[in-house]
Amino acid sequence: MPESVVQTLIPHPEEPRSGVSKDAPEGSRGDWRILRDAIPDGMAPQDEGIGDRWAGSEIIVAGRNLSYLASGRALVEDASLALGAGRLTVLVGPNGAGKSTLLKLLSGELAPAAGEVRLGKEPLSAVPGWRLACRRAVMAQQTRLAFPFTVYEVARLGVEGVGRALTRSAREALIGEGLEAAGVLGLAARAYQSLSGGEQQRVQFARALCQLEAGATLGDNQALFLDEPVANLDLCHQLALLDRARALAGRGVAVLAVLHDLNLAAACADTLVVMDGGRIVAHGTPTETLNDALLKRVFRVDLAFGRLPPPGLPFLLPQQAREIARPSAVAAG
Amino acid sequence: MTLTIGRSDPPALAALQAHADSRRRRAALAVVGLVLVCVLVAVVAIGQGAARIAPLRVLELLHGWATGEPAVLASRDGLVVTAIRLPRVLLGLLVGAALAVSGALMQGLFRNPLADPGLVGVSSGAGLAAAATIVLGDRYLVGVLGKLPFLALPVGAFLGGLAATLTLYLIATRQGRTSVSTMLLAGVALGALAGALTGLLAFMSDDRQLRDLTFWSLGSLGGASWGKLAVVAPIMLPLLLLLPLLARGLNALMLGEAEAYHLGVPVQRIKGLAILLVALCVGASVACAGVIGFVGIVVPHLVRLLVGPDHRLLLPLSALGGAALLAGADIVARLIVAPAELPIGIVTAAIGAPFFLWLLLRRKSAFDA
Repeated sequence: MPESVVQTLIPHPEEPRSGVSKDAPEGSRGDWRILRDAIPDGMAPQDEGIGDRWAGSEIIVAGRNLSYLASGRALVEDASLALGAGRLTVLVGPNGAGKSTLLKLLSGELAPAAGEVRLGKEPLSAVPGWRLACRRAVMAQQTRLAFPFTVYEVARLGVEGVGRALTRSAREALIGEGLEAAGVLGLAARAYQSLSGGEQQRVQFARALCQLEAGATLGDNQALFLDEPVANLDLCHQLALLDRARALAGRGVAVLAVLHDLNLAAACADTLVVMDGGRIVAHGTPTETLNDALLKRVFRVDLAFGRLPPPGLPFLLPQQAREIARPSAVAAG
Repeated sequence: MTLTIGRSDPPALAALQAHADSRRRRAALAVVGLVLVCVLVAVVAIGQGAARIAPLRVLELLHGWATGEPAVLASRDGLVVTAIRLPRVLLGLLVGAALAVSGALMQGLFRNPLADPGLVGVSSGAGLAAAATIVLGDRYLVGVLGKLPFLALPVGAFLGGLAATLTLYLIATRQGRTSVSTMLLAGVALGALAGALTGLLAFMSDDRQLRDLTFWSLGSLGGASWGKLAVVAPIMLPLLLLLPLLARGLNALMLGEAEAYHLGVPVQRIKGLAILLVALCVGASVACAGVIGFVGIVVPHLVRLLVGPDHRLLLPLSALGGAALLAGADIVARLIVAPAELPIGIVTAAIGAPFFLWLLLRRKSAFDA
């Protein structure tokens, strides 16, 4: 199948969506549409101009010509990336490509050696921490706790600062919703330390959701950063988590996720950004960016998109998720 | 709200509500219980000693003292209570609260349940400075301080505690990350160094100084007086009142420094304030009661078992628990070899170490990093 790769993965290409669909969160649920509306090619790495709007959506976080050095080595070099409202941007690349570093630069955890990150129209470095916390939430790769906090208390950390102005009952309702959306409501009274790695990760996702939701009461234009959010999750919860991320994008949140699974990335991304050696080497819709040459050049594997394995070898594609039992039904258990 | 896109699960939501409510009930119970324990210990402590005074009589005398009744102030019991025992018990409560809170702060700051001012060398630093003041003060400080030698000891101990805390923190922190194992090892090394230097000072000291030194290294509330209280209370009480400012930030810090930053917490400010509080509390404690171990590690652990690790509860309840523990330990120290007195550090270690071991054996999971 030499022609389009990605299309072979989609049984039923649907109508392209237009820009932000704030009005239809329900519609985006479970839609593993690959064929997105074509994005104007305005964000090539060398591109200088980042306007207020891009691809029909408002830009929430934008980094321009970012570089970051650690002990003399450039981990990120001259990378430009804009996160648009309502878009799920997925960052892929081999180990050590600089994905996490770029995510940390955009979330404000690291300060760039060169270049600038903007939150809306403001320089990120000028935004006070508490205001930043209302605008964006971050889920790190792995978070361990030294003390026996319960799952409920961990999720509560997400609203303690940002949701200070809310009433207690509003905060608790919010925590319940966050835990439920991440499928960990049933674990609420368990000690975080006693959970498996995947469960801990879902709790951290719940915490990030709680923070976003609490921050949403103070204003919109939010961003969510997910650093390998599905690394320890079983397939069902991988799909469920990305489903939630998509739904958040459907509400207008700019989502940036680092993923390793190219199938998942292709299935859920509005925009796919490929990094290698600290640089952004490809950028666009999954259809535009993923091809055999890139796989060979960046990921150093000689594989072809869309080619079926030999008969008799079982294989599985997440793009068929619609036919799998909805994860939310089993997630709470 | 639009967040919930999974299926609603009313039983699980109800369970969540029940969990939150039970946490709150336990917290309220623990606060009331610990306040009662504090009062009870204080009343018993005031009543015990060479002249025994019944608890009701103690309350009566305290009431008379508070309202300024001349009959109370003139009576023998009244004098014993107001001039000797009350300042001692109050000092015990204050120092116990300060030590327990310092332990809770250190554990939060380093995200490690083993951190304690005593274990990681902060107390030894303050003790060394106190020892230096005792032994070298007569020779070198008289000219500087003139007739204010009672200030030299608290100031010296405070500076020693601050120096030790800062050194420890600087050694263990690289590129904004605090390495827990480095911190513990560096603390052991600092403690050993301070111990060696204190030993050297002991070697140089005369008999009177040696006795003072022994007193400092094992701790005692024997020197309590209203004058001492007047020096220490204005330092410690405001610090204890500052704790609520730190609680939310420390909670977020439990997730890690980067995560705390993402949650909008001013991480550096919280860390700086916590370090300053620990140094002040430990310095002031060592200055007026010597080096007293194990309060800072046992009390926060006990509180966590009661109400969980939320610092908004942990810090104030640790203060109450530490106050009760030290005042209680002082009763034992005064009674067990009466009419002589045991150094209180021996009592807290004798209670604290086995208790700590029991905790370790009973609840392994609470200590797993």
